Amino acid sequence: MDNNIGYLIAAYAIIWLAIFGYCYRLSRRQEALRRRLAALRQEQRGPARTASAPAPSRASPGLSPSQ
Amino acid sequence: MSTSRTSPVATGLLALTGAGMVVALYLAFLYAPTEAMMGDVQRIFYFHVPMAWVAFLAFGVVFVGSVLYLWKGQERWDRLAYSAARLGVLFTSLNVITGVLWAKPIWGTWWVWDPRLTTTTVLWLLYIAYLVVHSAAESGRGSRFAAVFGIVGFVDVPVVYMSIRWWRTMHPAPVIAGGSDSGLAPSMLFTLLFSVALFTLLFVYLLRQSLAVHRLEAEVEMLSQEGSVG
Repeated sequence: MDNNIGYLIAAYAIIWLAIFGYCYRLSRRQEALRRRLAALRQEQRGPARTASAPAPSRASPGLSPSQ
Repeated sequence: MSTSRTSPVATGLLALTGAGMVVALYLAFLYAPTEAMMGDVQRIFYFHVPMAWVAFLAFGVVFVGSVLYLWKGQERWDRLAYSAARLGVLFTSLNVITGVLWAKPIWGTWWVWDPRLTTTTVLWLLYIAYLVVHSAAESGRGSRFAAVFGIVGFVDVPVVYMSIRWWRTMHPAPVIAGGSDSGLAPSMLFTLLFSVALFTLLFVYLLRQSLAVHRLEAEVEMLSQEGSVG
């Protein structure tokens, strides 16, 4: 082993750190976007279900326990 | 669009690349012989050259994507070119950094304004400019301007490749297709070609993942707009 081994190790370490860092960043971004997408889909489904549900105030006005 | 799960192709590519990395490290550090003049530091070569190859490949994709975007006007070609440009800049940066770390012990200096190093720096700056122009763009006009940049910038790729053939440089002479006195020992050549294949696979994986991010961003934007309209 010559005394230039430090340069060799530094070169390989930088390559792997950069590539793993880039992969990690991409996967984190994908994960965040998937969560955002799921939340948006949920938001869109929410109001639609409420609108199609029967209105309880009209369906049973005479059966109210207060009367 | 089905972008809610990681595709089996992406998982397969990642597994293959991961296994390949272990083999590439074994080949570079243990299988390939120590070079007689430079010693162990020459092993940087087995990753330094593939970085340059992948950067050239990425800029080739930018060129094709830019041409198709200007011709057909479809967003997907712009997204392809932009994703490839980011990877090209990443791999050019790694190529330059590994070159600098190799130059110091062999040339006694970190940097010289040698034709190969200078043309590579120009290439790197051109594609950084492409990314800046593209990111600053608010509309399709900016993307079209970036596409023109992506096409014109590609002219520097053959100049970088040929620089060690056209001019006298401090950079080592080409070892493949470099003339009668060039060449590599078979085990060195095998190690190099394995690394080139591995990093090409890694490029394909990263490009697919970048495009998946762009598709997800587009979906989020579309749903956000639908939500704000509704």
